[in-house]
Amino acid sequence: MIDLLRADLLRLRHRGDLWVGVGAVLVLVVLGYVTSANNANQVNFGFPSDQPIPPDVLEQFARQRDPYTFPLSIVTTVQTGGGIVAAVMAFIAAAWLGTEFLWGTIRQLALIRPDRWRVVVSRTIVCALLGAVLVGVLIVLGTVLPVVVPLAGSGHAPTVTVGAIAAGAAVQWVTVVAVIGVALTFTALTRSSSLGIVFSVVFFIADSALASNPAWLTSEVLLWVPRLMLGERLRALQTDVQVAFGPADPNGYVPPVTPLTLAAPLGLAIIAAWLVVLAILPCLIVRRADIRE
Amino acid sequence: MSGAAASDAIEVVGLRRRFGSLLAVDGLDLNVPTGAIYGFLGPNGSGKSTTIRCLLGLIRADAGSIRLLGRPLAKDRALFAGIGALVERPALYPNLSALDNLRIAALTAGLGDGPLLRGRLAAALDQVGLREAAGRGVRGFSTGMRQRLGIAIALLREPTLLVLDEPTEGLDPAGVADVRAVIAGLGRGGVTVFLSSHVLPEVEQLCDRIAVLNKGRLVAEGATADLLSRDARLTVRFDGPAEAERAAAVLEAAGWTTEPAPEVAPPGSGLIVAAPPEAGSQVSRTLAANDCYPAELSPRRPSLEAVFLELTRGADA
Repeated sequence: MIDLLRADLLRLRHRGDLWVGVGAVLVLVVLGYVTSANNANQVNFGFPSDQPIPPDVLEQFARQRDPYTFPLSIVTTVQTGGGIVAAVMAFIAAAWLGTEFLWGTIRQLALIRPDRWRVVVSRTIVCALLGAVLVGVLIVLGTVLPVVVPLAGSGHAPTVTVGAIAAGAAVQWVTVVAVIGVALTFTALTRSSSLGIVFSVVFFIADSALASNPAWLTSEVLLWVPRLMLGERLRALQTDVQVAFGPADPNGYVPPVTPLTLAAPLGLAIIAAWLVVLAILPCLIVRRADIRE
Repeated sequence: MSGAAASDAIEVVGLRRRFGSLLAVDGLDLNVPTGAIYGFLGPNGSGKSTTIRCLLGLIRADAGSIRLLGRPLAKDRALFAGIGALVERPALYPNLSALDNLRIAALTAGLGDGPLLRGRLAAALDQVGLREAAGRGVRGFSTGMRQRLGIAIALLREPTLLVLDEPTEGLDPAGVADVRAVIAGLGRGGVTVFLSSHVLPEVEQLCDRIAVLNKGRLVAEGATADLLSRDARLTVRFDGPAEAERAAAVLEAAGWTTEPAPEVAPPGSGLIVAAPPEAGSQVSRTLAANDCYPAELSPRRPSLEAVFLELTRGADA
């Protein structure tokens, strides 16, 4: 397996789309952060400059700057950049497996490694590691950007524990891994990068649309349909982590309990089951596929 | 057809594969002796590629069993460590150099990446004449260079069974000669080579045994010499057309069928006698007994191309 991983790293290093993807993550996260931080920096937005701003409004403006104050800035970049990383990694994973079919190199791999499922395992591991590196890059950006984009006036300095940052990063990474799994499954199934990406997008849109369908609310049994959906559980996990590790809301806001809310361990178990299925499915598909390329 | 022997490198029994309504391979039995250079022939769509892909585990057979190097394919995938293959056009990473393509193949095969292997990779590139192009991107390679690199990858694990599907496709005459020399060398070294090719003179020159497939069925199998002698006849040349005409009458009266030999000069002075080469002395005696004296009597062996066309056209009919 180590040799397979090394072969994958050698392949990955020479892929132009990898570097374009990494560049896109950096550019989009930095641009998004700078734009949002500059908006938050407008201390007298909407108020005439010759009139004093009421203290409660000033307080409200200061709170708007909280997400861009270190160390909360790390949570901000990880949360906002996580989606970008997931999208980029879905593209890279699908493109990487899809080109094996397009170039016919899947045939060469299958000839050399009849246990071809290991090739998919290796690729999944490398994509997951790359996703972890990119989430790490988000943490670095969250540390560096507050220095580069200083805040106007004093922001609060909300306390964020290392545990909160780690938990937030872990949730984003789990999301990235799940998205990679979906992209690899559909790519293996369709033998095409573009179709793999399209089907992955359709999968998550359908997941979201189905989860919000009120028809499930009519019975306790039907409620398990949206409860078991991957996208719904990932969203719930993010909320759970935010509540458990995030800075306490001064207004004492607690996310409402909905019919879809599950106990955190049960939600985690469902996500774990999805990850196992998404790890096994592409391996099974490639293992059983007729290689006609 | 040869019977299955313990030393057969490839044993196929009752192989069947259907694609929708098309029966691509229909109950194929095949035995390739260890150490043989075995030609696998057939027209386009005869089921050759499907058979090769089944042999290599790329596609699943609907029925039948396959043993490679004495081990069952279905159960023992580890046996592929001793098998090298080049199936149709070599599949390479166009964004990588020739050396990196080889390194990836070596790593994927679990050969590691130490200095010993680097020497082996350089030797493999040398063997196919790509040493100078080792660092160049495969994207810029000609078809022939890609083919050579594919052969280098197939030979990387020093296989005892080599499956080659059209290995000389796209190569220039010098490249064809080089590959032929490599295959012959491997054969001499005891490697079993299973060679599928449309270049029949190449197969005729290289292969000890030949199988001919048509419409998914085996239509002929045997030693190359036996296949080529199955329709062998005699060519008899005379000093002139008058002698040839008289000899034809004599031979027809003795029960042999004759026809003019168009390639013999002067026109009309040659006869093709439907008799095996071993009957040459008998034909000669018959002619002499009737005062006909041939200037030359030679065995007329058909080319592999002629045998192939006859076998595959015959099956069409």
